[in-house]
Amino acid sequence: MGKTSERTTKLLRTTGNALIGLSVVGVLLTFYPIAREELAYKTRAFSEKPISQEFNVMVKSIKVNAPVTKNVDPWNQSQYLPALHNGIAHAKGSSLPDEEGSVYLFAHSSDAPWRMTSYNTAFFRLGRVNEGDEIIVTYEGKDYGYRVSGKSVVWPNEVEYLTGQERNQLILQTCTPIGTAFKRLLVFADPIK
Amino acid sequence: MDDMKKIGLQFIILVCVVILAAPGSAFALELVISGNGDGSSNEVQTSVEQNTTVEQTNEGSVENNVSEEANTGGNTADGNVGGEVSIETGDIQAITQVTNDFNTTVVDVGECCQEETTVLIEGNGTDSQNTVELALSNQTLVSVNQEANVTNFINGWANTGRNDANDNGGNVRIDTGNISAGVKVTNSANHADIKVEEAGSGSVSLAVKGNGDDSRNTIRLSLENQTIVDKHDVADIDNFIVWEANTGENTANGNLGDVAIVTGDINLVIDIVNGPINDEVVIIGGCCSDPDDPYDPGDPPTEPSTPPTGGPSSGGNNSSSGNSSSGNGSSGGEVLAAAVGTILPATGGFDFLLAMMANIATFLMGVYLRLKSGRAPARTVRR
Repeated sequence: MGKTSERTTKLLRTTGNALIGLSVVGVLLTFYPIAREELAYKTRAFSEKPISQEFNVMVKSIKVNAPVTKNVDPWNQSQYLPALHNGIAHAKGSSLPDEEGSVYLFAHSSDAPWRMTSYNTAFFRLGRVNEGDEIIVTYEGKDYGYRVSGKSVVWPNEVEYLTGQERNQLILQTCTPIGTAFKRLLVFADPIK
Repeated sequence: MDDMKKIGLQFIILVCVVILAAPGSAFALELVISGNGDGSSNEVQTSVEQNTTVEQTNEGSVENNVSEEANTGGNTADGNVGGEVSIETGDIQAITQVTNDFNTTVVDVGECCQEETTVLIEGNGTDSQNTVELALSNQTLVSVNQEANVTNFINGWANTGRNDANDNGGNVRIDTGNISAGVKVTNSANHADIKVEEAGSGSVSLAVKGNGDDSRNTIRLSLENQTIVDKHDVADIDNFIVWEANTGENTANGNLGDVAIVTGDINLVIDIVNGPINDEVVIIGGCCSDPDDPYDPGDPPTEPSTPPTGGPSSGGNNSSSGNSSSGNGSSGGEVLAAAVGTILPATGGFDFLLAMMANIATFLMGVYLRLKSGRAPARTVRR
């Protein structure tokens, strides 16, 4: 009986130790992609050459340079999630840079830790852009300059920002706070004349 | 000689200036009797009558028939002996948007800030008799009649179901697609923006001064202003919307293997907005009031929702009407948003949060087990 109790106690202790060790490793693995991304942001040289001449977004102030997938249905998750894995998505129905109206682009701010790469979380640092920052959108080989005019955090059901086409502007959208999909961060930018 | 001079002077009316603008436009009226000699008799009689009539009639009638059908279902896979049978039908998104906007009347009658009317008897001699009789009569009549008849017939049918997979030898799976449909109908009619500046609303200034002793000076003034705005609107709007959506009614009978049928979701949103209908903005006078007045001329009149394109009118200054309707079966982002769930695309996941919660739970479980097992191995051994 005493021997059995000793064996049980030992098993509990070993299991407990293993779980504690596992959780520590899990935390390290969870934060590793974020730490890696931050380290790369601090140390990596930023290439000012667009990744794609077809459709690309470059924000120098937060070192974003990512390709854009055109005409992605923003209302259909099964369509836009694959597009977001490759970078930024252009909302179908919104204007293109060479057209009048609002250009609506959206991208992940975070993803599962084991899926985080430079492109699929293109807007990881979008919250750090400031008013006056320059955004270069390359579309079909031509550059379109925008200047950030403001930021706003809205609820997911405030779709008028996506459906409205009254203004000539660029809207960048991602989720906030990072690691959640509770709210949406919108960055507004006006064309540089 | 003096008598002759007196008599002659009695028939002289020295100064009389009458300025009248065309009806409806700004006018200044100035009547002056001045500088006449002693004992003279001077009389000015003036009557000004101004009538302005605006009649506007709009009749609009529109019937919209919109019908749409979409079908990815109705598939059959019967009697297959070997292998698995799978029927998967595609999603359907259907948007219908109809907008009718009818009958807009814009009437702008009268001039702002009309110049004042001045009557002056001044500097006439002693014992002179000076009389001014002035009658001003102004009448403005605005009559607007609008009638709008709108009938919308909207029929929709979408199907991803009604699939059959019977008498097959292997497993059977039927997955039907989702249907997201939105209908938005907006009916708006009979708008009026009427602005009437009362005729003769300028100020009247009367003055008698500097005349000689025992002079008799009389001013008789009669003012009559009448403004009538008469507006009749009739709107008859009928919406008939019939929509049928089906993702079910699938059959899988007599199959030897396993059978799974998964039917898609249906999101159907119908949004009917009737209005504004028979709305009006009527402003009478007040054009020259102080700047704080909400109807100050600095405030532009309400713009009509559609550009005016003319219409019957008579006797008025400006009047116009617009009839328009638009849109059969066009697409609309808002309706689509409503139909499919109305949220901005989700660009973040809860994976990170879940991973952190799992780590914390694992850590707490480990701590719990570690505490339950006892702090030191030696203590357990002693037992």
